[in-house]
Amino acid sequence: MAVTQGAVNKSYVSAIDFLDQRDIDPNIYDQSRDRAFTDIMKIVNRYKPATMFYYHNFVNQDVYEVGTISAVTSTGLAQIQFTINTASTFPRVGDLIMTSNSNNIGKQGRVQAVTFGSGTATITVRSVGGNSAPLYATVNDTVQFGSNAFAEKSTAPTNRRYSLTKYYNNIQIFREVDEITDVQKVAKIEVNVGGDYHILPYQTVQKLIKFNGDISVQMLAGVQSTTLFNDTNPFLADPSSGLPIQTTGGLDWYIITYGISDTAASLGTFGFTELDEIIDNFIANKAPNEQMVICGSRSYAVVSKFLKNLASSGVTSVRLNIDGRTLDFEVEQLKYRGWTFDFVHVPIFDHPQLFSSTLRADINGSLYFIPKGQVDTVDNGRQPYMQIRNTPTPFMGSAANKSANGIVTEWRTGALAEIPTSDTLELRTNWETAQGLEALAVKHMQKYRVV
Amino acid sequence: MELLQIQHYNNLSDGLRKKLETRISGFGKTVRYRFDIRRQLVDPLTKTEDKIWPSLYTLDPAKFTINDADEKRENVAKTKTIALIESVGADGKAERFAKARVKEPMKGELVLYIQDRPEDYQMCMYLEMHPKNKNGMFPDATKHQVFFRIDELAAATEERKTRSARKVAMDTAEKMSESELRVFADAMLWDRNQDEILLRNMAEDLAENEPDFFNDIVADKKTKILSVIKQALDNKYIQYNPEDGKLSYASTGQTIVVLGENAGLNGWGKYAEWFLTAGDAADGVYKKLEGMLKKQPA
Repeated sequence: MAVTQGAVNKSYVSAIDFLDQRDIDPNIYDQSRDRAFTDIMKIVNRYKPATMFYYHNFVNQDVYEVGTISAVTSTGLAQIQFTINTASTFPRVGDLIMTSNSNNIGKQGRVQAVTFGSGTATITVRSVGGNSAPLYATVNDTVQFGSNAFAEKSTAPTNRRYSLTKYYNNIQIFREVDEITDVQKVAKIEVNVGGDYHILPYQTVQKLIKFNGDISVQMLAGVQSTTLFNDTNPFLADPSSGLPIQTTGGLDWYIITYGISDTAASLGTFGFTELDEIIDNFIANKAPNEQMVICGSRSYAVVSKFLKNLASSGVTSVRLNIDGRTLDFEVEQLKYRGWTFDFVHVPIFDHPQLFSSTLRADINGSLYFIPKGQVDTVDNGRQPYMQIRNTPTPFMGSAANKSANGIVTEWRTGALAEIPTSDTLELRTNWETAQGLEALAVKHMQKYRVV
Repeated sequence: MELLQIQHYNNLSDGLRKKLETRISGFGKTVRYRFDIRRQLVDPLTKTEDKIWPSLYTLDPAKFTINDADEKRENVAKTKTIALIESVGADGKAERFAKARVKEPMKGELVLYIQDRPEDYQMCMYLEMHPKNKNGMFPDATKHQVFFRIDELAAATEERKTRSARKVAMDTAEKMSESELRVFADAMLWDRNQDEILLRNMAEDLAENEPDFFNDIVADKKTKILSVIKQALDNKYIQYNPEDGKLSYASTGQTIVVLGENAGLNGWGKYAEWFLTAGDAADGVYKKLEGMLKKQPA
């Protein structure tokens, strides 16, 4: 450039390429906050190894059943006869029964004869109070078979067989990858992650957040696939290899498929009516009376409005304690009718790209009730209500370009890996894990939509 | 008792109420609704199927709107909000709303005793207008039709038809002569030389469990043809080549018919159809085969 005359001003200097310094903040600010939103592992961070890619559990049956009267042959007598169409294989001669009929208050009857039909049982019942205490039956009355009574030198009652119900869920294989070329791996950028002014660490952080988020989303709202790894003719399959793909059912799937699903009659309102309904649902399913309630901001708001209007003695702020572990959540605790509810705001429900009120209104607007303690086994053992099942890593041995925490494995390939694996000048980082959710005794869990 | 009309809820026109009443009066004493909430579990190891229902399913939405085309009243909107009002407050306003709920022991079926229980009648009116009722009055195609009313009349007709077919099948199976039984066994590709009692038991079992199939086989001319083909093959009067599906005389190798590769893989049905439809040529072959079998020592 030739020598010119005049004052040295800003425009003069800026016209010279690369001469100006640039003021760039080297930090990358976490505006997306996906990491903060997607972590539900604070709620379910118990891992239990699985030996197979489908895991099963059995639950026992209720020892009592309730029958519903569908037809009445005779009523208002000391011996009556009626037909039930639910619990039809339960009654047996010798059962002492009570019914919901208001005319039967203070009365009990003994089953004298049972005739089984197709999905029905016709029962002859004699009042224990004799002619002065006639029994009544009307259609839709419910009948409990609460006790039994036998004569001297009696023969054994008919044997009842109690079955077991089996539930299962699947392990899902999650993967993520990051690829970078030799040139961009060493080219510096203006911002840094942990003092490293390259693009690689930033990409890695983003990928890992997404990877963990994908797992969280599936554990919360995933749907169990009908296809399994052992299917010879899989419906859900890799289009190129034809090999099956299986997915794990998450908390929402467990509850709507096997647990309690209910909804406020008027969405957007929450009061004693809804609270009573929630508790009645639990009582009907013999659920434990200490429950953790996980929810997003919209549903929490509806509840909070109700809680803030209660006398302060009813609501306290506590630290959440699940299965002996105290967690650092802001929790509002409500005690009512002998039940304790700890309301926990879990940000993933509010995630605008995952479960917003328009994307998944039902998940976003629901309260999920999960018992706080552990579920008993019939021989007095215990297991957490929810845990993550993970299969062992398929990778062998240790290597400089591989690391694992027992659950997730990371390995690097390409010519740029610690131990080069090809002659292509690139670095490929892979993450893999195989996990699934296991929820036990799901009828103790409830999804209640409030908004 | 009809759906309670409080505030703006259930403010139906007379025309719609009448339509609903007429509709429900055709249901009889009891009405059943089946909810599609069953989970079919196929065991990954044994492939056996199990059915599991949720502990509690609640039909949503609990309140919904319909378009009452029969509304003629002035200043009354055609859009109606429908809800099951459970209780009314001291101020005369709806306080609590009921919901349609299906518990696990109900196995996805809600039974309403509409003539005996007023609350069931109300529920029936409500469900008949619900947008998720597949055969309701206002099904909403944009929503998953999660339930439907079981048409008791159609169900009863179907059950009677099945029962009649079973009776006919059982009677036929019981009265079959021994030779008829063995012809039937051939048609079923069973071993015709088994003990008569065993064959009879197999035939009766089929008649009991698959009466329609049994009756079709018995009534079918095909049965006899199938039997002749099988016997002729067993006795080596004719031979079958799976490569081109050729049926030919065993003694001379003369072709009877060629129906293509593996035409006889799942039985001789295709050949029986050829005998039935190919006219004089096929009839001639059939008669010849029958003659050969008759000469066969018993």
